[in-house]
Amino acid sequence: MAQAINSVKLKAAAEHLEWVLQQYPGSEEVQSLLLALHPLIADAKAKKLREPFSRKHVPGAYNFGDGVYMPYKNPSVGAAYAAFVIEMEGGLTDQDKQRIVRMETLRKANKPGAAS
Amino acid sequence: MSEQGLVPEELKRQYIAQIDKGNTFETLGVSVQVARDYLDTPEGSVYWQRLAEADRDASAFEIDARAIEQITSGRDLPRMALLDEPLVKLTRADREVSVHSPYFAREAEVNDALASGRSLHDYFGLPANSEATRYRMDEIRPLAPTEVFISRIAPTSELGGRITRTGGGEQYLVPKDALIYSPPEAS
Repeated sequence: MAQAINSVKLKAAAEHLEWVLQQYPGSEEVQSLLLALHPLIADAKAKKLREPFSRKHVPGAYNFGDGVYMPYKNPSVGAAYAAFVIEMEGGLTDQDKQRIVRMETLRKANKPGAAS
Repeated sequence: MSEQGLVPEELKRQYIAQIDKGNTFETLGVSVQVARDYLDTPEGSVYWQRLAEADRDASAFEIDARAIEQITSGRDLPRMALLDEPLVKLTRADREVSVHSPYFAREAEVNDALASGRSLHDYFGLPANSEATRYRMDEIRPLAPTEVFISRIAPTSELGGRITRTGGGEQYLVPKDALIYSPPEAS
């Protein structure tokens, strides 16, 4: 099924991501990401983005996969970035939703201390 | 490209901010949809679980997005194997190794790259901020036999196509934090 931009959700994700990135003023890599994302965040906040945009073209994609933002947990740069790129692509697909539910269930079951 | 395929100094100066942190670096591998379909296979599920085990605080959405980004760095889908031998991590000689990176290679593959006459940054598809004339090569060993996921490195693009790499080398994706570094050596 073709995905469509939900401009309200995308705006909220962009605002949250911007806020999260602003919480690390001393980090060059986070501030560099904020600068690189600024045009997309500005367009998303202004609800100017109408067409889904591949996550592969969102600045910072490789660094995100390379674990560069993993140390920034509170608030989580990775979580805010993931939420933003998902909305840039028009939200989770049904396939994504099913996989995430399935994997999260498995993850909880395998968590140390979880009842077997 | 300048000597040894390095990005010309003029281009570096012009785009220093973009190059410095690698924010425009893109891997042109398998599509996001192909990566999604892979994650729905038994091997893909193992990949997802190992990534989640290495970052227990991360949300499922973040793990899923990170898995897709990593899988799309290959020109083909990863094949799972059990690793019980050391791997290496190539890093610019003047930089510290990236401790969270899941991308590794076999030392024999680095030797193949050198023998090919191509630059290491082209062979391994490295971002411009990681290219150098000298690299450090850190050895990393599995704590116990561990699952790894092997694929061919995809071509890459940076600065909207101003900088491109061919890739083609073999990469070992190790989503779980199951390897330890040995003391570094110069290469």
